[in-house]
Amino acid sequence: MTDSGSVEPDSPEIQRDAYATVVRLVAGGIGEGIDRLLQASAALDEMDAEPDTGPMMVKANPDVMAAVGWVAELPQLASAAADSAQRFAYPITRTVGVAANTVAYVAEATGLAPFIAGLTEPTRTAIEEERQRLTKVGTAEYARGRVLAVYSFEESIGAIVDLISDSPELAELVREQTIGITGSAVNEVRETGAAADSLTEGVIRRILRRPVQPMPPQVVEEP
Amino acid sequence: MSKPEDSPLNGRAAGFVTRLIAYVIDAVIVAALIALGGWIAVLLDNLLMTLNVETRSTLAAIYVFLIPVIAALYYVVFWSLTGRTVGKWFMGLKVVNPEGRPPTIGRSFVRLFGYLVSAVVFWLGYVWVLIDGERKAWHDHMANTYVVYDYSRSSRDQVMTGAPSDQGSDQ
Repeated sequence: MTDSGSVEPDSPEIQRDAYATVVRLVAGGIGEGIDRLLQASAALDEMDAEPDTGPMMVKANPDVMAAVGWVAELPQLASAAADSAQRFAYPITRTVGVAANTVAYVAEATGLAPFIAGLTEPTRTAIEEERQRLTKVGTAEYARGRVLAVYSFEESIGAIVDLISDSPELAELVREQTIGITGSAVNEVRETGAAADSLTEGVIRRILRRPVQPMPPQVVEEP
Repeated sequence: MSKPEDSPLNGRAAGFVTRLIAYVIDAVIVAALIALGGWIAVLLDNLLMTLNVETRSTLAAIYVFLIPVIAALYYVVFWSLTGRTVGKWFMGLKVVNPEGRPPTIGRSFVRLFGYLVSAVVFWLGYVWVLIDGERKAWHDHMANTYVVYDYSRSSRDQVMTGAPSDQGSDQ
């Protein structure tokens, strides 16, 4: 974490800080745990050296209780690590924005730009606005910026999902393309098969010196 | 969306290659159905074994009896109801009587029996399609049926395959 007001939330310094926090929590937690277990082990060795005081005395040993307590704290440590990892939400949000721009560039090259740009424009605008807002708010108040980054990420995903599900043109386009491609493939197999029928029959009939039929015989009018 | 249109081949007798592909597809499906039946029989046997009921020989006998029944049902039901099996649908084919309608159940059974006859002499009955004037196999002669092309295609396909269409080539 940095107190510098001039540092943007997505700066390498803050990302490094986030990584460091996770590492510190994990490594520090393990180190702390090992330390406490060693203390508990030493305490038990010490008690073994003394006259038998019964199991209740072992349970009551403060070091053993501390070790048990540390184990009980593990979920909280994991939760803290997860919380720290949420800082990456902001870079991910930016990645979504970059992905949207990439799609736009590809669309430009393939000629579908006006259609896709129309679809993605609201999302890209929303992401950009959110990013700018985070830049301002995040520099002033980093914790709040983090929350907003998560919110922004979720909002972006939600916006994209809504966009796809609420767009009848896109759904129709996908449906038509899918049916068209499948139907075309099946019909191509049929056409190729019919051509192969005539070819094979022509070859066999030539070998057997029988007259070759120019077209398949019409055997029924309306099947 | 392009409007479907009947193929100009519709009503014309189908040739050896398309019929062979359709036949192979159907054979695979029938084999899968038979395998499914075997799997169910094994499951049933295991279940009854836990109850100390000896059923293996009975189940095996039933299963052997069911194999031709499954195959017969597949072909006869599809032929008599729609004129198409799955394989024939895929290849755009249809089995019809001289009036252009799907064969009756009786004719379908005769045609199925004809399958066996056609296969007896090194599948000569199937190959007969190549030299027959009406592209009929032996089983078609026995049941008095035809296998014809019957499918629709969109104007998109006509453009792709270069076939004539109302939109593209009216001449």
